[in-house]
Amino acid sequence: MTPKLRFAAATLAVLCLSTVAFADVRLPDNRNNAGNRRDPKPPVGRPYSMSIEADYDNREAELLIPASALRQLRAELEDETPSFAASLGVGGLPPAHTAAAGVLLSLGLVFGGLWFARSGRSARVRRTAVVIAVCALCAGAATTLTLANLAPPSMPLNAGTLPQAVDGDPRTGRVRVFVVRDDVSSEIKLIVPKPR
Amino acid sequence: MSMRPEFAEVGRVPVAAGRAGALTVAWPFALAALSLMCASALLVGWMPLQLSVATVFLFAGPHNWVEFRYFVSRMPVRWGRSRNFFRVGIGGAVLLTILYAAWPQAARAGAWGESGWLAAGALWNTLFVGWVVSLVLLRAKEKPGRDWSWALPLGFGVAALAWLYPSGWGLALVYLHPLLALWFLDRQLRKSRPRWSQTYRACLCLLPLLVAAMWWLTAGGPSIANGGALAARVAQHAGAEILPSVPDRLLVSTHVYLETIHYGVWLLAIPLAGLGTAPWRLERIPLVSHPRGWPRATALVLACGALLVLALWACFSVDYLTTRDVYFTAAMLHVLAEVPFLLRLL
Repeated sequence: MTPKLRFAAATLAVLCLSTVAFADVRLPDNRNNAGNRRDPKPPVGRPYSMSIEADYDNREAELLIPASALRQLRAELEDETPSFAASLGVGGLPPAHTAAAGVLLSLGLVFGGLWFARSGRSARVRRTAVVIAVCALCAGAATTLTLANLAPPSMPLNAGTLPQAVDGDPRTGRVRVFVVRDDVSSEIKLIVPKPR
Repeated sequence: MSMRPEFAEVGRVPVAAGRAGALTVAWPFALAALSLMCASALLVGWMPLQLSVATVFLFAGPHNWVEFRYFVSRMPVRWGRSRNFFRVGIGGAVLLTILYAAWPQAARAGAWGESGWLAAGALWNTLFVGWVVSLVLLRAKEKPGRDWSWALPLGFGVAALAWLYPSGWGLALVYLHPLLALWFLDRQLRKSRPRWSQTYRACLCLLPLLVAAMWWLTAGGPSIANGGALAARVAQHAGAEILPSVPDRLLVSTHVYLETIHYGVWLLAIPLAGLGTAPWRLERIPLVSHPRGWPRATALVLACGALLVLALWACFSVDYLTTRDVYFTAAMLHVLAEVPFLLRLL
């Protein structure tokens, strides 16, 4: 097989594989394949650490929310347009990150090719490169069979000692909500005052 | 001409025996290593948080001093052809540590916001990868015929990951650093104690099993992060915020176990295998014994290091949480310093 033919065959193989890839194609929002409206997914919720503390010096109940937690929650709101949430691109990363990663990956491929071309005489290097290429091709082909964006199964969160803070009866009252810097509190905190 | 003790054993091992591939077990070494690994797994699985606090308090300072002592003993008096390698190695390690320490302060002062914080982290990681790749290429130049140019494409690939997963990449460093000590020991044993090398590798094969056993011991326990400010910080350091779906008890125990092994390697195995003498005896250090060396300056620097260890213990006693934070920031220097010296062993 001539080099030109080999190159053409490789290109054809890649093109054929790419036709069956549905990796990041977003599913339609409103209707499923049977034409029915899809049920909305139940909200999974974002896990946070939380503590309940009694502070007998306080006269009011306080709920402290770390700024980073609030930022993440705001970013999840669909109609929210805060500066950071709006700036997020693919995979929840700012576009600059995706661009930098793309440039670096391209450079990696270019220099990888140069390295492979330069070490053409070494049988060991050629073997290694062929093994890496075959692994990459198999991994790439395997991704066409997976449901790329399917979320992993959510594991039940460990509630720790929080259940001990209630005895079964509902407790109601008003709390003052504060957003605090992350270095003040890294977890959501409910401070309960002295009982009257 | 007498042979240096740490290399004497190399001469006693028949080369043919090593090539034949027959496993020669160094039983005392195997028993000691396995005892340490099993006892650590049991203790960490039993009380991970307490072990985390205790091991950092007891061993963080001393292991840094022994590491520094080891690096000093490996430092040539004249750098010669390795001049650029050492310049880039030392200069880069110091600069990256300063940036690492200054980065959170600058973020607070300049109000970078979330995206600026992420970008700064990714940029530091990229600089780190670039520094390592430069060292690999410089090291390759020192030996004719050695082609390590694969480091460049690999470095670009790893740097791309640093931009795609900035938090995960930082966490990977936290877990990979203890493993670097195991690689160090492997190279050192091959150089100075080849009879122990095979035994050591066989013991290493048991490490994943011990980690799995420790997870089994740890599973089902209460969350660590809810145990107060110190517990929350320990869990955060182990990656509880980055991997919220993984139980923090499992993360903390894994991190503490790897750190304990790391301390064991630097405080016991490396002095035994690599120094060839007691750590406080300086006569065999080239920087001390060589006519063109700096014996007083070397002794003074090591003495200052010992004083720093005492000061660290005192600070831990006064305010453990703050000292732990400061220590893990400054300790980046020793993490980085391991890279050039590991490359020197390859």
